[in-house]
Amino acid sequence: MRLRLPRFLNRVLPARPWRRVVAAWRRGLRMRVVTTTVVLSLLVVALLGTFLFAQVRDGVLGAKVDSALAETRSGYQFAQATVEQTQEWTPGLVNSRASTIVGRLASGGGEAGRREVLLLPGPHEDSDPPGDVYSSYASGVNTPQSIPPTLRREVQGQQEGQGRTYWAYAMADDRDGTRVPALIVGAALEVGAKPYELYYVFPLDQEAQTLGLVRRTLAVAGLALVVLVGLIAYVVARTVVTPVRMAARIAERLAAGRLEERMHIRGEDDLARLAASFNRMARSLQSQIRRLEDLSRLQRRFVSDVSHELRTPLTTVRMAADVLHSYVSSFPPDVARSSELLQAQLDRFEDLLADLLEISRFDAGAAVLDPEPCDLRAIARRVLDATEPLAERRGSTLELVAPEQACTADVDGRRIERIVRNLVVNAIEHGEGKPVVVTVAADDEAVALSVQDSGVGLSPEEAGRVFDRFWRADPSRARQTGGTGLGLSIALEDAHLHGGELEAYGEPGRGAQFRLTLPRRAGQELGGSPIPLGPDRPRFLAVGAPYQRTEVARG
Amino acid sequence: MADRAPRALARAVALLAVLVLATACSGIPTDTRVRSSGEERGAGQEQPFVHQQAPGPEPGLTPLDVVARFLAASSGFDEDFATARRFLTQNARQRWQPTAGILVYEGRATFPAQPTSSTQTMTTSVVGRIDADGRYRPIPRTEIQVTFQLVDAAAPTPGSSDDGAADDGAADDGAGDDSADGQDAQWQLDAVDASGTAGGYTSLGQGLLLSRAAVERAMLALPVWFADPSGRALVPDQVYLPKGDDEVPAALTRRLLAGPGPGLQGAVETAIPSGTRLVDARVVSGEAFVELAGPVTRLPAERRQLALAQLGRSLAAVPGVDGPVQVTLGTETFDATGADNAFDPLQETLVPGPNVLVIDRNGKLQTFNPGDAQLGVMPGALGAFARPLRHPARSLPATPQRIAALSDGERGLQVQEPDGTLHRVHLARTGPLAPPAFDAHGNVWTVDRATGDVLVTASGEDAAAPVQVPTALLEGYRPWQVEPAHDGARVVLVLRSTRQPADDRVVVAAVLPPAGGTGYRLGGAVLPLQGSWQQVHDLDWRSPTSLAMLVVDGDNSRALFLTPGTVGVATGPTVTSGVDEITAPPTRTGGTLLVASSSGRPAVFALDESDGLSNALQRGLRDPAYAG
Ligand SMILES: Nc1ncnc2c1ncn2[C@@H]1O[C@H](COP(=O)(O)OP(=O)(O)OP(=O)(O)O)[C@@H](O)[C@H]1O
Ligand SMILES: [Mg+2]
Repeated sequence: MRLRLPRFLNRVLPARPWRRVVAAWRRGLRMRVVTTTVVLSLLVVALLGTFLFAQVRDGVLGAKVDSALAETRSGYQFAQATVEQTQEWTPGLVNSRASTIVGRLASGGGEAGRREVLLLPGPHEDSDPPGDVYSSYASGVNTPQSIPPTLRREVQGQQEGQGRTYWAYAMADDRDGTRVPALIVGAALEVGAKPYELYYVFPLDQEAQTLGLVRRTLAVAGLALVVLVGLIAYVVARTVVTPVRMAARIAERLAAGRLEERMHIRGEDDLARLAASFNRMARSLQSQIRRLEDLSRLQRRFVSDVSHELRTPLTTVRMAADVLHSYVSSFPPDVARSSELLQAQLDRFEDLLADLLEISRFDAGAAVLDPEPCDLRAIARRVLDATEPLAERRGSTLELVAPEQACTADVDGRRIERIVRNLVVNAIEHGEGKPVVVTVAADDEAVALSVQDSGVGLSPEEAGRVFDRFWRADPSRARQTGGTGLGLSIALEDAHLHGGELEAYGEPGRGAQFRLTLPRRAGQELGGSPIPLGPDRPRFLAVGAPYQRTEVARG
Repeated sequence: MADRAPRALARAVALLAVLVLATACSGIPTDTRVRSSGEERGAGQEQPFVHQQAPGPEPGLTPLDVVARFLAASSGFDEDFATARRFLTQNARQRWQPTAGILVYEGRATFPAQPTSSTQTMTTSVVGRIDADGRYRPIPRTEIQVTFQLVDAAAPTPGSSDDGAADDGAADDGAGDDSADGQDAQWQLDAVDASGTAGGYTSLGQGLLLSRAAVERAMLALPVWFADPSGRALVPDQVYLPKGDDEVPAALTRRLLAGPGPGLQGAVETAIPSGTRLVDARVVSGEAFVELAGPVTRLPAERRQLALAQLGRSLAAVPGVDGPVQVTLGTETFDATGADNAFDPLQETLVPGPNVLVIDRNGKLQTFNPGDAQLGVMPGALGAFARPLRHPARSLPATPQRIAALSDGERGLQVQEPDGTLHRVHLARTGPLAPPAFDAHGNVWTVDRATGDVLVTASGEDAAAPVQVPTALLEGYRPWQVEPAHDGARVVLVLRSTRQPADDRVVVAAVLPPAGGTGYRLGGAVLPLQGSWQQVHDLDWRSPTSLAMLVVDGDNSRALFLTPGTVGVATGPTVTSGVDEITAPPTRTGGTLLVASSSGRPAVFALDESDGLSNALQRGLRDPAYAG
């Protein structure tokens, strides 16, 4: 049970609810509009409601206070008139008169029974004759203790015969035993020579009920208003946002290449104008792209046609040159040299043509892969063996770092070998006679091969352009071997054909590194590479376990 | 859809606007349509109960102050004597039994000792006692001395420990004033002693000492109603209850369940069997609700009707009840309103007409209409009686018509039976007979003033029989007049002193029905009436609970109105000294009282409770008598 609950919760609750909300907020224009409107209207409604409630409360309580003061004053006058009729006072008479006054005041007047009357004697003075007892009289459940002491002090402190009334709000007892808010009005009175305080307690529970009703009504009306505003905002936002969303969707489709997608134009409003301009933009974009497509198709066709057209005459020339060359020993030295030159330039021309044909095959999409499991180490070794003479000529040493176990992947061995050979040759040519290190590594997903030299190197800008066709870092640089500038672009096409990646990194004067990464199985996505690329690579340390450095024999 | 939404929105907004406008227009209506409310409040604005709260203990009070305040606070039923308790020492608080009874005193209490003396003595007059069951018994007015023992709470004494005082100060926190807690007052009351006084009050353990005014202010006298033995009439029994709380209906019902008080022992019965329990009794917006359980739920229909009548009549008098009385017996609920009418020989009001009997100048019996002062011929044998008659009487309208009058120089009692036959049921040897009167059963009562014999002639009998009077009443006194209450269960008896010329006593006694061959007897705990008079001229029952009297008070004749069994002081207007006869209509709610002067220049007057005598309604008439 305890194990299932979190799983269940996980399913129900989003993993990071806050992020989800934030994301929804960022993405949803409609939600933002509705929320902002609701929050703002809530604010306004709350302010307005508070103001209205204060206004109503002041009105209700003001009316109550006015009527209470009037009633207290008339009661006070009645009590005074009653008191003045008698001259000779005994404590008993004072008490009975006080009791009568309370009884009369409680039964007479407006809402008898709702309000209570209290008549309290002033505080006991030491000068009072001993044995005189003056009691408090109350018509209801409230005792003298219900009167706030501050109010009593105020009433007691009043000057003789002023007849002022004082009032205060307080909590008082109700007949059903509860405490209710009450308005207490007091006035000072003399019964006999004894100072008394007359208090009226007006329960405000009905006013509280009224105010509660007003508050509830205001709250409900305000809430309804906010909900209404929210709904309106939703409807409005929907009217605006739906076409915008549609535009976004169509823009996405356009971006995905479906250039014929267009927006629906309805009416003549701003949204219709937006749709019209959007469609215009899409149309011009589409025509531009078509033009460019046509142009590049034309170029490719031209290259391919030229290459093919050149092939036949080249073959003829070649055959003629070969015939010439077979007699080179019989030629005078300057003629023999010309024949040698012709031979060499024909070799370069053939290479160029082959490269061009290969490129146009890629462009035509005619390149086909012939994958079979190949060990990258074996390929590397073969290439190193083949380029050993060139390296020797340049004074470079070749080094292979490879793990012990096979680094096998489903690849087209011929193409991979071509890539590696190109990389190694480039490294030797631009290596300035310094060592060239070839590293092979593999992990579960991918196999990789890196070729690293310490020669002229590449600037970051150059590293970005090495894969461009016909691009060479320094065209004036002495070129010993061929060098058409097509090798790396073909290598890149080959790598892409495998679903792999070929990347370059270099620092000027400190060498360059090229890394080929291939998925183990064809069609697999590449996540990363088993060999690091760049300056923080561990030098001469192969990645992949177990690592072992293997020196490849140079001869 | 998108283009339909704004239209719907517009429609909703328009509707809303109309609504808002409509509500804004509805202010205070100004049309002159007449409205009425269904609720009718009782016009009888009876004075609400005024709670008295005596001042509590304060520092600096003298012992005299403490005693005075304690006495003033002793009527604090509504606060359960919280204030009064604070004046007592711990010890006294435990001994004090405020509900054990009340000694009622009257007049200004005087304290001759020094205000600062720790022993204060109060001198006052005691007038009666209210027992724990709420029955008031007057005591012949006697002066008493009550001694109050106070202790200085500040100085530790063996009588009261300081700890106790401090504890109680804390306990009073809620109710008392917070200024002087812990040392409420220096002086505390430790003992009250009134030993040797009449009425049985000796100390704090025996209850309260209250002035008559305090009793009238803080307590409520209400009748509980029982039935006379024949089950035909309801008989009131006054009880005192603390005023001003919601407990009155419950307390009153409990008193009713407890049965009749000592004054009516043997003279009444109750339809509510003993063992009946009170479940609930309360008043809600003018309606009384009573719920009883126990044997009362298994009464036969007739007895249940009587029980409902008792409950209904008792509870209808509770302050605040002006609607029906609902009685729940077990699971069944009955409306007891009006159930009492079947058990009442009296009407609510008197039917106007010639409903008074008078004797004219010639001693002839006539009828008299107090409304238009017209005389009428009295049919029947007594109306045609040849010799002069005095003091006629007539049985109550609810019983067969029986008429009585005195003949033969007030020595003979003539009774005209319902069938028209006339008997002289009694002839006294010497003295005159007192004016005869009828009770609910049609019995006619009189007194032989010469011998002091109380005589009753039961309905259907043709001879008067003596009634046995408790001998204790006869010590130094002789019955002078008897006036049976309309219910037949009580009589009011005027006793004339045999030693002093002007010292009449008036008592209410229960009528014990004949049992085992004996005749009627008077008994019960006889209830004396209090008032200032030397001699009683005449009296009559004004209602089931109250009496109207004509008395000699000093040089004047005075009318007095009083309710037996209450502390209420009899008051009334003075009347011309020759006026010596009074008769009250047999109703529940009053009517015109008639008085007459029988000697000198006879005349009949109407008597108003506050204004006194009217002009003579009719001269030359005497002995006016309503039925009863
Ligand atoms: N290891 C390297 N160090 C420095 N620069 C390099 C390196 N490899 C390639 N380059 C630069 O990249 C350019 C393009 O190389 P790429 O192999 O495509 O052409 P290429 O070697 O000139 O001709 P080919 O088509 O015969 O290979 C080179 O001309 C050289 O300037
Ligand atoms: Mg190259």
